[in-house]
Amino acid sequence: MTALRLPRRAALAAGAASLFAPSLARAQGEAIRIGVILSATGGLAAFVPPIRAGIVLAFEEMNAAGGVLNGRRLQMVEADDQTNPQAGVTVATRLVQAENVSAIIGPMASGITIAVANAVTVPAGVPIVSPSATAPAVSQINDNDTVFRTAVPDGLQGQVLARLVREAGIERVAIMAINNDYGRGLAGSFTAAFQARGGTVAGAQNYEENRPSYRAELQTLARTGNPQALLLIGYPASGGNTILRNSIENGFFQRYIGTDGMRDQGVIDQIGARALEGMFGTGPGTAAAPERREAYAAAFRRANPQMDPGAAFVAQAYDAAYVIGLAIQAAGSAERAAIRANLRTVANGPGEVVGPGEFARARDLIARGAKVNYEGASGPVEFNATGDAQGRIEHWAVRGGRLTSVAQLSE
Amino acid sequence: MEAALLYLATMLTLAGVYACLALGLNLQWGLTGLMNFGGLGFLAVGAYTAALLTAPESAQQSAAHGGGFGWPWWVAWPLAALAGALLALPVGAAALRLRADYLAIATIGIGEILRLVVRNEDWLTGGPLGVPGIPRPLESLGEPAGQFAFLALVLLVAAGLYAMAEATARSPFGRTLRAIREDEEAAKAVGKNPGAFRLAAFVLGAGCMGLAGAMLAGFFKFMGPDALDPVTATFLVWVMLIAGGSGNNRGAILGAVAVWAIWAASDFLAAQLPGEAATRAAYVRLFLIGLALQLILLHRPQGLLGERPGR
Repeated sequence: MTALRLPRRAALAAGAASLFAPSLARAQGEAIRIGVILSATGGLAAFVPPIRAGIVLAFEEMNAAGGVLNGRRLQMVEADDQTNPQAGVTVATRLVQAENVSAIIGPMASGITIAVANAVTVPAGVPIVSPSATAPAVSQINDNDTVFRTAVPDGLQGQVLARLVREAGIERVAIMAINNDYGRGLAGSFTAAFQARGGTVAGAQNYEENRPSYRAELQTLARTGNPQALLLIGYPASGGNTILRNSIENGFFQRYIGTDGMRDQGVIDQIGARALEGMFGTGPGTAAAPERREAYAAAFRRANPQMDPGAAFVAQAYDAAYVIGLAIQAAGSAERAAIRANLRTVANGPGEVVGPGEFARARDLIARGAKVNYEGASGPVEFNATGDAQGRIEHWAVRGGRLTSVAQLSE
Repeated sequence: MEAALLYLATMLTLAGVYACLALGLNLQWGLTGLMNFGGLGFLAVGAYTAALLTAPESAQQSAAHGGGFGWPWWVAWPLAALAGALLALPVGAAALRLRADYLAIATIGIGEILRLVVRNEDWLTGGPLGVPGIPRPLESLGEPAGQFAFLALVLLVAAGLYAMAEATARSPFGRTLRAIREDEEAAKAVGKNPGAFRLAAFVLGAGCMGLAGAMLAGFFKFMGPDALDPVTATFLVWVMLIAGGSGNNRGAILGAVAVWAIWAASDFLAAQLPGEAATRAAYVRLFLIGLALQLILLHRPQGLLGERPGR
């Protein structure tokens, strides 16, 4: 009981502190505005609630710890890109030009990130940190070092997945991939790595979203080249569940392999645990030390009892907010260029390691002139030359009807 | 202050592009009574024509698409309009024989076919990765100046299309179109060939949409299949035209600006809402546009500015 009571007391204290925070903030200068572009409507909408909760949690923790730059609060300015690049560019323009944000978290989709970067944020010099843009093309934007991501690019996921599939004794796979930059990119990197390991892609189909049935495509795949398993690259709500259902009902495939998009307990609950038993796949992993991960997960569950801290890209979103907050503190300024210049300083080693929920300690370290190295909920968050985090890939599997994390892999 | 002006310029630029789309649709629907629900397709053809012609050669390595010729925009934009018109020629020849509601279905189909072609013909369009790095005209003027110059360019094009549309509406050609819209048999009886006139209006309107697509591609500096959304590319334009007043070119422009202002303002207002409500408000925006259309249709079916009687 005491273990339960303590956080509650801490939460009360934090709540009481936040009562005083507004007046403090006014005394110390106005809030620093951080843009958050998520796909609240459209194809990716199902992912948004936990991702948003992760970002809110990070901002609340930093504000409860006293904010940045002598008590200035971090304020979220939200926008919905409708999972559409044009809408993304429009709302990004609003954030950059009318709302005058210092930095942006998001957008979620790779195509939207590329469009927003090219049209708005690169010319304006606004740093953006996407929690979930995984297409390799994001690294190739001519971005003046303004585009970062806490998500691990799909190239790595394809390689890890190819190895896992071969190790599972599967030689011939059929691929159903969603027909967009994510599906095509991941299918491509998987195919290359799988063939290099002596596997054969028996057949591949790019499917359109939101069709009532995928029987025809599945039948073609099942009859071509005698595949042993189906690799499904997609999202549950826009076709992934339908594909699994069609395939199971008609007995097209017996084994299923998934990727980050299908890594969702809801899939198992809706399709049925028996048919999916033994399904495995990859997802955004965590290289976080267990205690850091646990600190984040506990805080997340306290704030959002209904949501899963392990849901796709939530830890990445949390980390994106944290590195921006730390970069502002380290820069001593909320100027866009200063944040951009300090993102690597606070995220990469060497330096005193700080983790989730340790904003106050990080701020004290920075105040003493020490260099901090943020190791987050999703991994060590080390940005390389193109602004990509060097993370881990999770190996997950369906065991006893539960989506279970098997291992965290780096290659 | 300057930032707010820049934002206003962005919104006006998009309103200008929508005005061109609405003017094109007005030629087809307002003047001639052709129910074209395939605006997306003509916009896409224009957008991709301009995108592939103007994208720099160096982009060819990073994204595999068939373009990257690095042509100047003032060559590519007229060609984009031409491409929209050229697409309309066979489509119109085949589909315009259908009566109003069947034509609507046929054009929806064409719009969807083009969307799928764009998504799947990687060798030409870059598939789902689209065409990145499209240069924006006049951006060499620097950050604030370039954006205002582009706005001026878009407004100039919109003004030019307006002048053309007005001249068309007043000309004997325009009167014939209205006559065909009102009573096809009567127009035939006085020796007009309705098929040819309808095709001409359809092609002309499609050219406007192609040009609008080219401006959109230049403004976003990126064109991909996800950007071709029937809601924003086809149906929003219909709402604009009907709200502004179909048959009236000024109404088309007013509708485009007014509806775009509501669209943009609702995004702005939604963002001021606290927390979770802000994300939910995104759905309310779509509802608001639909509600506005219902109210206009019920209480002012002729739109804000109705069609003026012909002279």
